[in-house]
Amino acid sequence: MRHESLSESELDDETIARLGRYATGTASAEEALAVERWIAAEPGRREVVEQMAAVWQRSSERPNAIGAAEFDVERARLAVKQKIRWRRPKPSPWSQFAAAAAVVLLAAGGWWMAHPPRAGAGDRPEWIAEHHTGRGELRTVVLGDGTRVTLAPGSALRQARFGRTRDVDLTGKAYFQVTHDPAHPFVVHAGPVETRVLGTTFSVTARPGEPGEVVLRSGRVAVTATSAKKITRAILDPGQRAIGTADGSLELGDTDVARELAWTNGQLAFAGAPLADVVRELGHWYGLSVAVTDSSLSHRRVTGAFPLDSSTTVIRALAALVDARVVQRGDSILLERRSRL
Amino acid sequence: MTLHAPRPLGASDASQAEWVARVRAGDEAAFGAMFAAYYQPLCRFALNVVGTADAAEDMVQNVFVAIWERRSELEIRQTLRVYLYTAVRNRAVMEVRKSRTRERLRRLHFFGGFFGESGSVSPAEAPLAQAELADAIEAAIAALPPRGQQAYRLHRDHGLTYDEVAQVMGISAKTVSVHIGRALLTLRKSLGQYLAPVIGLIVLR
Repeated sequence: MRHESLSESELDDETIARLGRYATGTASAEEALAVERWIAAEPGRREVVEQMAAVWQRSSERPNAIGAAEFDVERARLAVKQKIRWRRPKPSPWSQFAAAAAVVLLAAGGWWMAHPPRAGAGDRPEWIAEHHTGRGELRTVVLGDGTRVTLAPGSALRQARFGRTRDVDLTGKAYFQVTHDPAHPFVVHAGPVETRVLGTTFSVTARPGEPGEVVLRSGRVAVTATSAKKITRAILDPGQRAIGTADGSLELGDTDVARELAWTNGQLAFAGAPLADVVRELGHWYGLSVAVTDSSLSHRRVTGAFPLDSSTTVIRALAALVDARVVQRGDSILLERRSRL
Repeated sequence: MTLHAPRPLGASDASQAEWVARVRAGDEAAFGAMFAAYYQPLCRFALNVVGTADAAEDMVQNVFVAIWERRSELEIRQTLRVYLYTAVRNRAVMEVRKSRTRERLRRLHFFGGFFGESGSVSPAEAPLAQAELADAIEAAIAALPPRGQQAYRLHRDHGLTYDEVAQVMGISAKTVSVHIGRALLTLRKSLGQYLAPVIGLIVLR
């Protein structure tokens, strides 16, 4: 039974401090005596103090009180190394030529002054590393700055030497968890779509022949779609998706991020997606050609989540869902409408 | 049952001083060890002030980068622990002042749900299971007023002494004990009845 008798406002700071030290085991002998006397003076006080001590004791049993599970030390170590390297003043081998070069450039019409070089604009980053995934292979790589990239099957990631910006090039699909460093923007080049990272976790899809897609989970990204005729730029908020086409336009909308990123956990999730889209996604995943022959079938909507184990299981499950037949023709898989008997 | 004051995190005062000396001399292994010992707790501490894990990690990483870059002039008059927590806290406070949205409130509200209306708790039929109790305590701590919460966490979780907490927070040791006493009174009000009774109380230093 709880006693309401002890009102904190009745107590002065000195008493509160003493009770605290008593309950936490740091009271001196005299303080402890004073507290015992105080407790004895009124019923209900002992229970209060005992509960304070119990809370103190039990609160040491919280498993994640100092972030053991939350923060990745190794990843952070890499990030710190990278930050230290960036800030070290680089001894310039060109310093003796700099004065002469400046003269030459100015003589060439002051072009550099009028058009200061923008990182990534037309510069060809020097690719120093490449990662590939094969069919059905899901892999996470950690870049030199600690950024984690989870590659979907059939994807390729190229990484440039990280300098003022951190550039990577993507074909396929990947989920990025970017190490936070606003001084050195992380840029993903994916066909006509460039994503510049202001915050951290998002996915990019860039398959040849299909519109590029960026889904933002947390943080902020700036997405740019470029064509010869048009450049469109937008800043995404968490939960948004941008679809960029080769003609340089961007389409923004809200999306269910958990569903869009289910693949990072080995599942594909759909909510009312046309069968044609589902089948194309599965095709990418397994490196197969999967098609739907019947137009009435291809418009059927699919809702559900498929754990991505064997392609046969998944395709059969999908076929059963839409009441279709699976036919193998050469190395293509077709879903056909069941003929009515 | 004896109730001990929490054991300080990381190393003893002597080995902390040794780490500082070695880092000053450019010993990378010592720097790495220092980083490994303090990174996660400092991030957790920063997280409680700034509210987002990214900002917290960035901040703590920058503190270590700055230490390494200025290692030859490194002068730490207090314990290394106090130096680190103070450095992180200063940056965190500046960061919170700069940012317009108070992300920290978001985290507090997330935990508030456990208690329904602030403060009122439905009577429990039986003590909570271990995991639920840990969550309940964490929720109650997260609902404490900010400075009291910070003092409580630094002493309870990070193992800083009253004096060290006082140095990090820029207040007197007496104020620290008032914060902690008040925190315990509040915590006991919301959680007391969930706890099995503590038999006996031996608290002499």
